[in-house]
Parts: sequence; C-alpha cells; structure tokens
Amino acid sequence: MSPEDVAKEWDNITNFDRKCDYPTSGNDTFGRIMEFREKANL
Amino acid sequence: MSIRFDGKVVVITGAGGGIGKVYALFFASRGAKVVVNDLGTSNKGEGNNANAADKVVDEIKAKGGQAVANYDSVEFGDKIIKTAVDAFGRVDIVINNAGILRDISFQKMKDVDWNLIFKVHVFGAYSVTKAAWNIMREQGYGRIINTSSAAGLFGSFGQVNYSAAKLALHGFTQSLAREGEKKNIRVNTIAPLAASRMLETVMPPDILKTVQPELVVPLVAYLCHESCQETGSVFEVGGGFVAKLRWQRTEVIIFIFRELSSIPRP
Repeated sequence: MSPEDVAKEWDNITNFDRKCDYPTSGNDTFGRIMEFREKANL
Repeated sequence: MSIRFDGKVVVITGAGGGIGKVYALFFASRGAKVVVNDLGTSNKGEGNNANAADKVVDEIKAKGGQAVANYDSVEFGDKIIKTAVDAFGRVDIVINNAGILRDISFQKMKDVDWNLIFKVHVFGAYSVTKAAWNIMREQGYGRIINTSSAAGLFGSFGQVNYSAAKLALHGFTQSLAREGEKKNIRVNTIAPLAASRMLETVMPPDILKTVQPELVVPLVAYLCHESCQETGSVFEVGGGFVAKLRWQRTEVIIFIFRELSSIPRP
C-alpha cells in the first residue's frame, strides 16, 4: 500500500454512490479491518 | 504519478515516536524537509525528553534526508513554526498529530483531565496552525492534517474529554477548509487506527501488529500532496482500510403550522 495506490483509488474512496455502511462505533471499523485482513489472509 | 515532496517543508507534531515518527521518516524519504516536534512526554502528558525528537532527526539525516528537531509544547505553535522558517524558510504542510490521553469515567473526571486534553489536542492544533496560516496564505499553498479518532466520531467509554476534543478537531478542519479554499490551503481530518503508545494501553500486542502506523501514511501523504484537492473531509484509516465519512440526514419531515398556540409562551 502506497500513496500512489491511494491516489489511484481516490474516486472510489470518496464515492458515496457505491455501497456505504453505517458505523456506530470504533469497534465497527476495527471489525471491518480484521474481516478484510482475514479474507486477504494477512 | 509519483507522490513526492521535494522542496516542501513539513511540520509534524508529536513526531518522536508512533505514527508521527513514521510520518517524519516517510516525508523525508520522499524529499521533504521535516521539522520533528516532540516534547518527549509520556502518553499522559507528563515529563519531557528531548531525545525522542533528536533520534528521529538523526535517523533521517543518516539516510540522507533533511530534518530539524523542535522540543516545544504544541501550546507554543509560534516557536514550532519559527523552527521551520529559521531552518528551511517556509512551511507547506502541518500535521497536527501530538496527543495524550487522560482516560477516566466522566463521574470521576476532574477539571485537570478535561483541560489538559483540550490544551494539547485542540489548543495545540490551533496554535501550530495559527502560526503557519499566514505563511501558507501568502505563498498560496498549504496542506493541513488534523488527527481525530474513532472515539471522537462515535464515542468511547472513559474518554469523554478525549472524544470531545477529537470531534472538535473536525469542526476546526471544516471551517478552516472553507477559509483556506481560495488560497489553495487544503485541510482534512483523519481518524487513524494504528499501533501507538496510546493504543497499547487498550489493545493486545497480537492485534496491534495488524494495524501498523505505516498503513496510515499513504492516505496522509496523498492528502498532503499538491495534486490532491480534497478539503474539509474526514477519513478513517488503519490496517489497509481507507474510507471517507460524511454527515447524513434522514428524510426531512416538515410540519406545517400557522400559529404557535400549542407551545406555552413565557
């Protein structure tokens, strides 16, 4: 993951027309991170 | 496109360790001149140890980069910015990163717990940014990052003081973004989730390994780059996760009324 990768994905990162979710706590965010890492085998 | 910062001067508060140190090493590796500010306090804001900033500066210089140390508290933003101007002649990027914790339930919280958190997080960000603001306006260029937290965005037990200060920083971002727009000053907030001295107090080591501070840097670097025009926004970032947040409103219900007779008047 690099700044260049972030730049390439910028339209997706800032696009609220894509699938959004509605976090209600910091644990939601952390859960998403852990889920993503598990799926990616990290 | 390569994201580089040649000729740019970056001021990073709280850069003696944790995410701040990672920012400093990264920006220097991409050509920036870096002011490494760190008072050297504990995560409760106690004591001071100039070695923290010096070690980061030494590490940058050893790799051929340019950096100077500053040991002032963020309350004295003018001194921190003066270090940048004296050493490098300008300030292009400010990363308000310094922070402390005074976690305690609201029932037991004392004024000192509230005031110290606001002094470091909110007044500190104000003071450093204020000192850099006119320089950025005059040069028609600036990038500012304010550091919020999930605790500020969503709330967190035992962190009423910290949560209030962290959300205040996004209010600071949103209004500054409007004031800076015409002068090409872009201001954004991040809510990072990254292993740090502060997070070490609440998370086990094996979990901390998954949220290394290096994974916050790519977003911050892009937000600080001249090619990025994003401003007034807030992002969650950590462990490879990057997302923008926004306020949302339910469908509005409009109540039609012709008189206020149902509401008691004094």
